[in-house]
Amino acid sequence: MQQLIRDYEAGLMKTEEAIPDVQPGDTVRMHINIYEGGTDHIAGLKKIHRIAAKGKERRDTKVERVQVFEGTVISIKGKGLRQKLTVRKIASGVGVEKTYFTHSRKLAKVEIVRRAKVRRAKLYYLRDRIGKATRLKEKRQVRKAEK
Amino acid sequence: MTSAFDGAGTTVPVTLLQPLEVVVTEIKRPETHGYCAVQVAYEKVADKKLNKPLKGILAKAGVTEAYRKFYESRVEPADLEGMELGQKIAAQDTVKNWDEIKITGTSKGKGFAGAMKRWGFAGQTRTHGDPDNRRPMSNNATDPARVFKGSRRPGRMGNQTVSIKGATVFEYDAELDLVAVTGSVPGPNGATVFITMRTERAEQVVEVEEG
Repeated sequence: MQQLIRDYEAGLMKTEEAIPDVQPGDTVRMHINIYEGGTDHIAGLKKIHRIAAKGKERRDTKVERVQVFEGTVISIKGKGLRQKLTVRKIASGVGVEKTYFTHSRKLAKVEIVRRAKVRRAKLYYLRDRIGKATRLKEKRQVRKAEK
Repeated sequence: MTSAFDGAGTTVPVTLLQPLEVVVTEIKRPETHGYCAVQVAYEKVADKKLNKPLKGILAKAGVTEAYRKFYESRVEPADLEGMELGQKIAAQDTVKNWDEIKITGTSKGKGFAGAMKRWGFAGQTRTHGDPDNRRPMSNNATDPARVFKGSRRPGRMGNQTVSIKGATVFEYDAELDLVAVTGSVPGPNGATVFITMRTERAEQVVEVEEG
């Protein structure tokens, strides 16, 4: 039974090549698929039905456009199918954070721009910092094991 | 339970159900039984596990394999056409994506539960020195010298037949032979639940096991 659940989840997950080895502190470029239309116009539907209806409508809906969001990975939560990635950046002086399921189709691509040396798994302390204080020490050398 | 992504990448909570093979053992018609129904058998077991009465039922329908559980479903007269004894019904023939379904099963037993858990009572204040903040509320008037039937009091909770209405079939995974339905279903992991399809003509029932 548990194995069946794992098999089912494995079918929904992106391949290992599609997901780079993102670590907290990395500066990444998230390519976000933007789909047409919302579902709030469907009145009288419970949330679960709205989700269902949306899936039905959008099963073959094309991606309207792709948005690029560049920022620092401050948190990686969960694992497997439900792994989430939180990326923070300062946009027009306002802190913006976006969280996506790594395996969701909403996240088209993740590119690693720069890696940084950090000593925490969750970089929530960056929320309290502005300007120069948000700089992280760059990890210049590529690990030898990888090359 | 697990989660899946829909076409737009939004997460949907789903429960995976493993369809069980169902074989028709008796067709009840108005002429013979006074109503329309289909009796099916499911859950295959070793031949020696069955007693003679059960074997008799299966033999009458011409079923050679041994099944130990039976289910009868009332159907519309029109649905009896084309039904044959010994016919096997597979999930992929009945389940369609986004069909609205009713899921019936036995809920998890909670044992002897208090009024707060069983009936959602608010309880008493937790602070200000209250010594008994989970005890039941008022016990009615003392005059009748008995407890009124249906009083909401502590007692056995769960282990009851429960139906989830308005769930939908998220998808049928042909490769793994799994039905993913939206939301949760009654009972523990591995429990058997019954799915009632809501079609225009009538209801058709498929037995499935939660995976």
